Amino acid sequence: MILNQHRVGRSGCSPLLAALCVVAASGAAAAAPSAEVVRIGTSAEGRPVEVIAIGEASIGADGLSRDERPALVIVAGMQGHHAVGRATARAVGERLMRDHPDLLSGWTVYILADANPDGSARWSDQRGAVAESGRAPATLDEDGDGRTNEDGPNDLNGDGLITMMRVRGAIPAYGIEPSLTIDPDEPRLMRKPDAAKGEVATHSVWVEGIDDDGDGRFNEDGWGGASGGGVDFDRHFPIHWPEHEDGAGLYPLQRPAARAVVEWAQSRGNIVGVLVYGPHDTLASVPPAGKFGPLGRVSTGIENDDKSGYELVSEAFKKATGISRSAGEVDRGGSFLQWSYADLGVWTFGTPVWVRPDLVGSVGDKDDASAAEPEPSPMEEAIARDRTALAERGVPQELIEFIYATTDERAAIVAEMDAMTPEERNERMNLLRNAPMDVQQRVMALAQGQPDPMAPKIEPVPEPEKPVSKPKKRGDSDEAKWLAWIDDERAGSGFVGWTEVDHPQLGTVEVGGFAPGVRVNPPDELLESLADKQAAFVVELLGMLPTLVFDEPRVERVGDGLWRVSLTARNTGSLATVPASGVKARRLPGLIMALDPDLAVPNESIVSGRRVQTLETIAPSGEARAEWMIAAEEGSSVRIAVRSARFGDRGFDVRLGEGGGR
Amino acid sequence: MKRALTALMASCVVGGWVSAASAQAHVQPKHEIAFNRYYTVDQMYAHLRALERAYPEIVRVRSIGKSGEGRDLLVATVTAPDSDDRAKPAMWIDGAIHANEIQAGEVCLYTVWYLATNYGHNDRITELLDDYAFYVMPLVNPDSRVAWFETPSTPHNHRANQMKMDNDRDGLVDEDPAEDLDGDGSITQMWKRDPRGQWVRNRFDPRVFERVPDGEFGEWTYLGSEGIDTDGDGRVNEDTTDGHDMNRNWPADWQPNFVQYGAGAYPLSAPETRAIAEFCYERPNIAAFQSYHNTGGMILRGPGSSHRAREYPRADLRVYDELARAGEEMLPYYRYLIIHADLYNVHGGEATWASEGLGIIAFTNELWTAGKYFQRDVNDPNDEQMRRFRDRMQFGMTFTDYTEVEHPEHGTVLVGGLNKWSSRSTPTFMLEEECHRNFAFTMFHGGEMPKIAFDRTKVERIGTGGLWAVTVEVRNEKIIPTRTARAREKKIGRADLLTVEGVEVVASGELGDWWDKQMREVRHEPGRVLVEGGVPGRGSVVYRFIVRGQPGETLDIRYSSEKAADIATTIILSEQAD
Repeated sequence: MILNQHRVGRSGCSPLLAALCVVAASGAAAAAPSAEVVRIGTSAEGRPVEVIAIGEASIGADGLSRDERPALVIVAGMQGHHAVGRATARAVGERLMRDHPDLLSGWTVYILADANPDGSARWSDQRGAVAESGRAPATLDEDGDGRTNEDGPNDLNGDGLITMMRVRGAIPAYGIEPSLTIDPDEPRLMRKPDAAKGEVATHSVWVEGIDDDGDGRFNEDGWGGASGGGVDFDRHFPIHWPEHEDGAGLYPLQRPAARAVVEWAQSRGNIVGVLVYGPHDTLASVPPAGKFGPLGRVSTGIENDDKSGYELVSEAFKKATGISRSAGEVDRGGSFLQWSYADLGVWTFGTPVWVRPDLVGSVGDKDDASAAEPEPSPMEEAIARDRTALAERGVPQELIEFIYATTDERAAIVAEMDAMTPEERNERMNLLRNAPMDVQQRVMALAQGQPDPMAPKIEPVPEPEKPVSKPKKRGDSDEAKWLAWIDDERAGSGFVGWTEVDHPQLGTVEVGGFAPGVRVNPPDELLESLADKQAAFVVELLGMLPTLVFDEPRVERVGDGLWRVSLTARNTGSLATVPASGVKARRLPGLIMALDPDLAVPNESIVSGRRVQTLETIAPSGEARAEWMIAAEEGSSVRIAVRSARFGDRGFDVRLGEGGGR
Repeated sequence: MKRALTALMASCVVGGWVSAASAQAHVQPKHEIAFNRYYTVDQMYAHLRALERAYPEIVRVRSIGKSGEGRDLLVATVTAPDSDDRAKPAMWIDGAIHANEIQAGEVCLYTVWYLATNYGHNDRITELLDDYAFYVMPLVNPDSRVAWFETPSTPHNHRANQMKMDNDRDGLVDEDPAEDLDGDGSITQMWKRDPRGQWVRNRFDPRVFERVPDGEFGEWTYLGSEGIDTDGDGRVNEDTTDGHDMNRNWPADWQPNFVQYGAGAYPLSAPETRAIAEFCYERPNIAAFQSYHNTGGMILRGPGSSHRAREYPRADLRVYDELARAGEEMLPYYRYLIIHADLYNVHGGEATWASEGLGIIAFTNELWTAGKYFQRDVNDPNDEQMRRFRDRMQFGMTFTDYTEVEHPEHGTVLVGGLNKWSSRSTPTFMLEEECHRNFAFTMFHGGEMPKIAFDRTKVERIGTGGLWAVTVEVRNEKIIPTRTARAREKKIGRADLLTVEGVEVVASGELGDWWDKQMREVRHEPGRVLVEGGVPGRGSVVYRFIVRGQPGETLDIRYSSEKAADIATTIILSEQAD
């Protein structure tokens, strides 16, 4: 049995630091980048939370120090069992230092390789059997029965792993009813019975364990193992925090390690990009744009205006890594990734690093494409028909989208209209006024929160003609594909064959299934090549992230003793200096250009232009300019102060005269 | 009650009184506090310490943490002598999380003072402290109270804490605070003489500025609030020392700053809110919650946000309604309102966190309302009436007369107007009544925390195999259930536990009522029943245990709830008449 528990993360960062320092020392460059480990906090169980800061330590040509230069953060290990993320984050850091010292004179890269050290310690050094969980252990009374951690999973077959148990038939004393059947094509897997073929449910599947406390439930209150208990760092951050749900914690950032990460990130205004190695993907497939939480304000995916940026980065990612399709878990709220994007307000990307091997490359694989897209339901088909019909009648797309928007989206659209100028609103209303009467009725009803009076209806389809679930071909399902890979590439190691075990409460059950982590962490021999690909992507990403350069300040004589002074900033990156989420979040000031911050020039001498000018964001390849008209003697000089937490502060002394500027 | 009587007798001996029942009117406080004035942080804390020294058995003062600027966060625990506050239901009471809402602190101080003074003298107060404990935190935001008292203020500023914050997002922090140009301790208004101005001063009362009709010119232009554009950005007082609004910093419907202004860096990012939250999470016996604010005369309940409107179960709303209706009667000119529906949306508020996060009954009182100025159906006095009130009742103390001041940008300006003592704080001559009525309402609420007892019990023999049916009823005499519907729905805290020891419990189940024949079986652990819904307010739960035992054997039955004092009873297996 091979277990993918890369143990690199256990002893802190010093071995890596040593390695990085060797790399740095051997480098020939004079201003070689260096790495420094900064302790940013301590976990609940007393482990250090550390960031490795990589970059040119001294003040560079840009006049900035390492903590002032724009920075990319690579975060890994929010989920303790995501060992591949931790190993890759470190390995990418090594590669950047070894192979790309030039990049590190303009960029700082912070590597937070082990964000949840209690979770990773638990994964690397589990007491008893190994379970697939990335949670930080916590002594909580998950089932509210006055006992804590009294019923975690149990290793019934003694193989050192917590897998699954399949139970045949119904066991009323435990409320167990069969819901699955053994897949006749692959008897190691279970699937829903096909009623059309007369199949009936024979089994149910549970996490391996007994009812330790005799309350009739299995594994409902463990330390954070396969089910119940512990704190899930991917549900523990404040944006869309799943209050009162399993794993969310008593309150957001209750765990000191998570809190330390947030406080550190908020203190580092120079962060312009974040890359998360973890279960969620934003790179192989771009998150949905324009979807919001219940208040219609906080994005659950990405803002519409950031979509093109995400698509651009996604293309680069696919090219560099070969990962062509998403295999990430759905983000259910409270993840670090959502917080980083929506509240910290920086470009944030995520990838599991390693995905089911058949998802890499082979973009044109038709079989897979059809498997990835489920058959549309009759209702979906009816809606599609209705949309087509509306479009054919010439109904504007805006109105069709409104009719089929979710309640939240509709609220957001209405709110948006409220904020419009009267002209804009009138334009929108004209769309509606010119629409067919039935469409007007539908839109008005929906706008008032009533149901759609003409929602498409579906005729009940007779069972025999159209089976509810299409029988799946062998090898179609995610599990089948994993199993095929395990059989082909790992000689079956990674799947525990079902074997009968005498269960003290349920009688004879079978224990087996995928080994913990086998679908999360690759075999060790793949780590190097994964790190190469991810490092290649990071190099691409650094080339796309925003960079700010300034033109020489311009001075024009408007008249005797009257000058026009301007300063232009240019974004030479492929992404906006601040994503739309960051402009919305307003956490940090934008780019500030302030004339004469010491107030030597009185306000009345600034004839035009506000003394302090703010620019929230600059588009890719875009520029922004601040301009003032100043009444002052020729030959005197003024200072323009640029304040930017993200790109560093700068100062320009401008002499008022012909050919002024610096 | 027995303890209460003992304590009562003890204090009578000390005090030398003979009469017990009518003692309240004659109680001599061991520490006198005037409630016709307001107290600074140091004075408030000195009174709390003095109350602890005067009543060491009843009042215990501790610091639960440090404020952002390092001040102690004092909480007084008030309960009966020789009792464990954590073994009984407790109420959290706090005030002045918005530091400018100053009288909230005095209401809390009054609460500690009144309870301590009257314990052992008044039966109701004695019973309250015997049954319950009260955690009282008069000043949640001491840093900003210091700022309000000691630095220039308005009735409305220093609401937030004193966390460093770049309010105007110009990359500089706290660079343009308010300036008190006339040195009266308040930030008032500035006027400049201007022949094209839109305002004139009233010739009979120069304190009054009146707008001239459109198209005509007056003599004055309004310049805004008192201050200087310190950083030369064209704005005045736009980046003061005020930081986050701590009543938007709680982990229930918390929203980031761009949705909820003042929210803070993350839920419980302020040391003050974190200290309170940790205190409450560590004390599941906290069963009621009251937070004092000003102004407007309101008894507020959640939800704070319309999208949570359905998260308040009907059973809980009945409890809120019953308590608050009583409050409306006890607090003239106060109205019972729902925050999101009647006021505005508040995300991450403190009392809504208590309701939604802790699953307990919580109110916010908005102290003081304009209706109380005249108390004769003048709910919304006009400017002229308000001037008369200030002149005749307050002797002008809440108004700073206009004086000429040299302003660096505007030259000679007039500075003056209503000062920080106007509008929001209760006029001091009415403060004691405000304190008492709000205290009384809060004690009414606290006095309805769960109080349970075993009520009817029944033992019946079943057949001849040594089986018995033992039926017990647990009754709650108070309005608040031992577990709110919210707590049950969201699985907050521990379920109540009904346990039987001493005999073998073969089966058990819940009955719909005392006469129900069928029990809803508890399938697992029949001797350790999880009562998920707790005991309802002014109601009971009935459970039946099928046990095996010999006549004369005894069962020890125990009911334990996080929100009620534990109870136990012993039942003997024997034939008995109903």
